[in-house]
Amino acid sequence: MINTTILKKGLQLLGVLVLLSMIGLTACHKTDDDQSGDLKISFSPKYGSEDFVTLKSFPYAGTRAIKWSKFDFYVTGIRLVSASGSLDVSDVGMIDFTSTDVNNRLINLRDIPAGDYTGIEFNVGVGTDLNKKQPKDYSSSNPLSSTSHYWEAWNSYIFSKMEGVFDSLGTGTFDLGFAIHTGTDECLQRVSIAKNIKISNGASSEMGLDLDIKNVYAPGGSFFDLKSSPLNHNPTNIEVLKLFSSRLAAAIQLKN
Amino acid sequence: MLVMIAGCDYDPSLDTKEDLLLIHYQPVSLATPSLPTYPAMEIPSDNPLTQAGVALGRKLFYDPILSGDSTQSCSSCHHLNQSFTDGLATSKGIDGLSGRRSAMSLIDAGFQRAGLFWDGRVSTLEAQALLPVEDVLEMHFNWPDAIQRLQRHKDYPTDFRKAFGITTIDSITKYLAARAISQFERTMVSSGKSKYDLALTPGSGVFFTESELRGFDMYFDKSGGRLPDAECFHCHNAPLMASTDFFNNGIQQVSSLDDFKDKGRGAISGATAENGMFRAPSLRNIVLTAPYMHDGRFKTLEEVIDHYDSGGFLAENKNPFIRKLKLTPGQKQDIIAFLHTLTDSSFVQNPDLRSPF
Repeated sequence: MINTTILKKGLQLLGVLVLLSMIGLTACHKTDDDQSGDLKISFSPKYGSEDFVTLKSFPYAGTRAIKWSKFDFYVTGIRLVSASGSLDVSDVGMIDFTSTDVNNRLINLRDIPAGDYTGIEFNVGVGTDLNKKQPKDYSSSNPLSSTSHYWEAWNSYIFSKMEGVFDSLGTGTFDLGFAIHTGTDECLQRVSIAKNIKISNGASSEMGLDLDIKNVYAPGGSFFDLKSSPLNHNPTNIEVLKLFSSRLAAAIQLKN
Repeated sequence: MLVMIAGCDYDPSLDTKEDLLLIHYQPVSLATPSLPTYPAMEIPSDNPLTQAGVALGRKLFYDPILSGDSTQSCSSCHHLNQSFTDGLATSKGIDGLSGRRSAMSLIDAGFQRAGLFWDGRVSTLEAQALLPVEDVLEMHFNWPDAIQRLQRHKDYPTDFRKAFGITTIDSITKYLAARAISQFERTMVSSGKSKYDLALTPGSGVFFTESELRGFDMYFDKSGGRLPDAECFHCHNAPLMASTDFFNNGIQQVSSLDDFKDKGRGAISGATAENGMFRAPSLRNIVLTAPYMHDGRFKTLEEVIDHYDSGGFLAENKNPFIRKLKLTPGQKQDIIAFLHTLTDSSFVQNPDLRSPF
């Protein structure tokens, strides 16, 4: 009888010790492996040395002027590069410079493993695998759910939309609407930015990028002829779309 | 007379603290409405579809009890046989006053992922359903009195108990009423049996006529340059034939963006650049929803097509695809023929969407 009692107490003690050791192991595991922080990537639009504002008039090709009413593009395939390898994140962003919500110029990557990274890569456009899907495949919180950014006719997302009005005669009247919509796999562009990024546990890091729209429409001072070709919005104009896709990607630079 | 009518359904002496626990509450879930080509309908976690919830919402939608003089219900401006529009340029409220805008079709309202109303001022059906009751140009009532009517009604306390499991009559709120109406509205889904849908379904045996096919090609710019691009799909994209964006489609002549009589989206966002912009509504059942535009200015589809063919009035925020199209009369008729294929007769004849009274 006594032995049984001792045995029971012994087993109870053993159980408590096992439980305590498990808690201790779990805590150690969390401390070692679950350190993470956030990374906020912000895009700032410019037109040369001026800040970009929706429907603000900017000089264009001598005496002419231009205003943008829409300027947006998808960012997908984000990869953080480090000396020990790379980390792909599934976040998809729709950067919209003409939205009244400044949060639409940000991509907030959450729970990135803490560590030192040496750069970032991403697609301007919808990556090839994602471009095989359609808006109906996503919930409304996902930027890829936008039917306004999908070409039914060409089974592709619209990677970017740039729209506005143009003073084509230099008279002060914005007489010509223009639109450039890029899309299809041929227009996909990859951007690589080298920058040391430190992600610390529980902290939010920031990375600022500039996009000079003047470099999209007039790289090196050579202005695209909007008067002759105001509407380029389907793959029948693929060369123009590819041109603007590559310019758009090249116009993204690390913020000074 | 109104008092006498009201006397039939209301019991002013009723104790609103009375509990409803003796009434059986066992909600039966309904499947989320869906179509193969549609995005998933998102149902708020606090308002799942139930049989009793949809049934209550249907009654409230058709019952004039929520209007100031008990003469108008939601259905007064949203007639099923007109795809839940009312045939007026601008709808009239109980006082005979016209509102600013045309009643929008409610077809596929549950799939709308941008803001609701022409200007997108609310983001959910639940929030939308609260507004017409107190709008002086619509039902011109107030929710406290409307709720009192519901609480003292001979049937509604039981209906709310069955729909939401409330335990006392005074638990009936405007928010529960709005949830019920929203549940019913989420059942207003295309049948998937319009000629357009069937013609795109392999093996259906339904085909476009040559004229409809030409219209389809121009609508979606699928002719490869053989026919003009009518630019329709930019704002009315498949499958909903609508858009999540707002547009100035050039119907209003203004000298500056500040001069729009109805600023539309700009009045909500505060952004001058969005003045004169409105939602692009669904074109499903468009033949049934005349007159057209947010102010009902066009009586016929012919007028609509003529407007888009003209390129509209210049404005800095006019959508660039609103441009001179140079369509021939025959091409205009082809586009209209295609728009007729979007008519969903099964939807407007759906007995589950009719008045329960």
